[in-house]
Parts: sequence; structure tokens; C-alpha cells
Amino acid sequence: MKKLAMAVVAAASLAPFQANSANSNIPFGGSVGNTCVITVGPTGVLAASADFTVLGSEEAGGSAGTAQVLATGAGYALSADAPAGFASFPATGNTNVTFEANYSSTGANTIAQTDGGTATALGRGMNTVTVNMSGTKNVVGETFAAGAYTAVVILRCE
Amino acid sequence: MKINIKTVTGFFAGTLFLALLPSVANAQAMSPMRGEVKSFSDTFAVKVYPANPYTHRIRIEVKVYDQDFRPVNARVSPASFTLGGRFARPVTVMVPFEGQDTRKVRICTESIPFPGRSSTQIKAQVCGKFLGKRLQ
Repeated sequence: MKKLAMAVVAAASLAPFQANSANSNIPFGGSVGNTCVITVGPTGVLAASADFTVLGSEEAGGSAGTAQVLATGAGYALSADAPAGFASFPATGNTNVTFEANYSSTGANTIAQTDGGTATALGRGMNTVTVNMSGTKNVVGETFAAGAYTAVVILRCE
Repeated sequence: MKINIKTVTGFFAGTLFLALLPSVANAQAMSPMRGEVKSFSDTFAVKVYPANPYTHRIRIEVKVYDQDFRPVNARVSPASFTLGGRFARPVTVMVPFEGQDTRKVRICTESIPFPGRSSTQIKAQVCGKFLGKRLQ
């Protein structure tokens, strides 16, 4: 009985130490910057319309470009600038052409297809943005000549 | 025993959180995105940190525009550079007041991550807005 009592006292005296070590708090800290990240995905493909007056990603055979846009905070806006001209083109390819761009978004922000020049406010979160562009001959009777065309759309987060 | 499990779980959750932090920070395309700078001289300086969120090396350009996206005659150092995947580096921008007491500018990080891959390319442009105030 005496031994049992001593064992209980010994266990009781050790218990607080074990409890303290088990409950020690280890502080961690860190921060996430308030920013916007654009990660460009598959780029788009331009295709000609049946009458060769439009060269665009929404024509049959074309495809849109995509990007992931992440906003870690509020207060940012998304827009897409149409190109001023084709970056590479055959002769007369850049003559009398009107360029347009549009974008839409799914994910944290659902944005219906919007003219590229119109900025849309972004809430916090990850978005999959689809970007389309087109060039249209603006003189009746003119068509796009055969050759390779490339263009650059600016996708902006600010 | 329950307390111990909670403590261990908490410890691992904290460790996981800390381990995730660098990757989140590295994915920033540019920081900071907003700022107000006061200066006694006829220019004000902003330091930004463009970052490459991709795993491959890309060319980055840093440009300065006014509120209407007209180019501003600012000194950017360096203005163009290549950056390895998941890296960021500091860029110093010196903006002249050009006789004004305050000046709002956009500092933009621009890059085409996949040049020459397709007929339509997307240039990613992340712009921060900064206000310079001249102190008399």
C-alpha cells in the first residue's frame, strides 16, 4: 500500500511536465501579398470566314486563347486590348482591317462575353478566362490574302 | 490522448501552411500592386518585384504608363530581362514629376510566355497603380 501511494505521488509529480510539453504552442506566421497573377494557357488559332473577309478565333476552325487569372484580393479589374495590327502577315494583310477582342470568365467570377475594352471588376479567386479576337476587312470587296498571320492580344489585370 | 492528437495535427497543419507559403509568394506576377510615394526631389522611386509563375524561363518587360496608357518617360532598371521559372527579382522605377505636385502612373509587367507557338498569342500584362506626391 505504501509503495502504491509513492507511485501515485511520483506519477502526479511528473504529470504536469508531460502536460506542459504536450501543450506547448509553436507560433507560425506569414502573409500572402495582395496581387494579380496571369498564367497564360493554350494560345488561340485564327481561321478565315467562308468569304475570307474575317480572320478570327471564333470562325470555324479557329480556337480561343485561355488564361488563368488569380486575384488574391479585391480591387482589380480585367480587360483585353485588341491588337493594333497583325504582328506578321503577308502583303496587304494589315490594310483596311478593324480589330476586335473580347473575353469571358468562369470560376470565382462569371463574366459573360465582354468587349475587350470594357474593364470588369474581379473578386478574389481563380478564374479561367477565354480570349477571342478577330480582324475584319472594312472595305467592301477586300479579302485576306493567302499567308500566315499572327496577332497579340494584351490581357490586363490592374 | 485527444489533446496530443490535436496538438500533433495542429503542428502538421502549421508546418504544411508554412511549406505552402513560398510557392504562393513565388507565383505573384508583380508586387506590390498599389502604392503611394512621397519625395522631396523631382522624381519618385518605386521598387516592384515581377515574378515568373511558370516553370520555364520567360522574357519580362517593365513599362510605365500614365492614366491613359500613354508611355511615361521613366527610368526603369532593368527594363527588360529574362527570369527563371518560379523566380522574382526587384526592379527600380524612377518617375519624374515633370512639374506636377502629384503624379499617378501605372507600372506594368508584360510578357508573352509562349512566343511563336500559335497565330493568336496572349500578352499578359499586370499593372500596379502608384501615386507620387512631391513634398515642398
